[in-house]
Amino acid sequence: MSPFVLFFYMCRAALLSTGGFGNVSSLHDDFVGHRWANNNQFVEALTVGQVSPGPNGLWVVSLGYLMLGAWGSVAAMVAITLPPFLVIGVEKLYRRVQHHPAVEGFVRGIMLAVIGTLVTVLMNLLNSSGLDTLKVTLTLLSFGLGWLPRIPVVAIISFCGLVGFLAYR
Amino acid sequence: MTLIRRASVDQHRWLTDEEFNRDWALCQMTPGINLIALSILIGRRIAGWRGVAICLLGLVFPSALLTILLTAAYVSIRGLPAIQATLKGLLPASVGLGLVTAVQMGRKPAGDAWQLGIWTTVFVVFLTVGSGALLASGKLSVTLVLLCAGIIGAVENSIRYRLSGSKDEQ
Repeated sequence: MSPFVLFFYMCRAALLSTGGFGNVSSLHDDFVGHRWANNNQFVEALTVGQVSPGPNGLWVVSLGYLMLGAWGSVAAMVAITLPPFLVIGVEKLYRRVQHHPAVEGFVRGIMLAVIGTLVTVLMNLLNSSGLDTLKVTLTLLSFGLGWLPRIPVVAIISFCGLVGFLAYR
Repeated sequence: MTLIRRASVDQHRWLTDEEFNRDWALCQMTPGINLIALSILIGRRIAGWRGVAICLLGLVFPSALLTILLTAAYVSIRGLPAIQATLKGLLPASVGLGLVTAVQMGRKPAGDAWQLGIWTTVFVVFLTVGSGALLASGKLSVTLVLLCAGIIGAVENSIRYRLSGSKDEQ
């Protein structure tokens, strides 16, 4: 697989979604489906994306690195920087068709499907390495703690990592 | 987002509160990372294309570099059994936090639908759960699921507008 192919798929996934994690399910479908990446790499990249500063969407830069090294991460970085430029077109279009029902409905439909498929992919990831009580507990715990703005994401991730280290070593 | 808002609206007065809200709404409709789209709009308004370039360089480059360094550091130690054990704990954390993101993404459309009435709410829930289930069944690829949901959404919205429009005329 070449960085250009990676670039193409990442661009396509970004074009079909909005927000930093909206592209998880498309990319999972494409990359794991073609066996270019495995579930582990997805988990690793998502975790690094959540730990590192800046937009969460940069998780694909980590995925690019895991798949193809430095060139993979450069391809990923360019691929996620380009689609947001459409905002300039969206701004112009917005003035013309401000509330066209079909456009509005299309955008909303995709947004809802992004949420639904994201949940499915997350469940698949959780399932992929064998499910046990501890993993379910940690998932529910992070889900609960994730709502509290006072608790930094890094703290939640470190805690779960530590529990994993103690339990599975 | 909060930090960008504080800097560009409150401190430097590059744009008004209302402009910022409108820009942010547009960014949420735009494909890709919302924050990148936002910095493109703000940068362009302040200093044209040069502003865009500088904003992107400031937003994407340092964070991407750190992400790469973190990944590289991780790759060099991933072989250790201790790291593999830690990873098993990290997986649920990523999934749990990802679920938080999913719910956060869904709050706005769900709230809007609730205000439009029970039928729209049922439709929104159906479309969300349905696309997740369709993907889980393995019959369609993600891209197709998304496009189908978009088309269904467009049809539903058009019909609803037409119905409410005819009611207004009477």
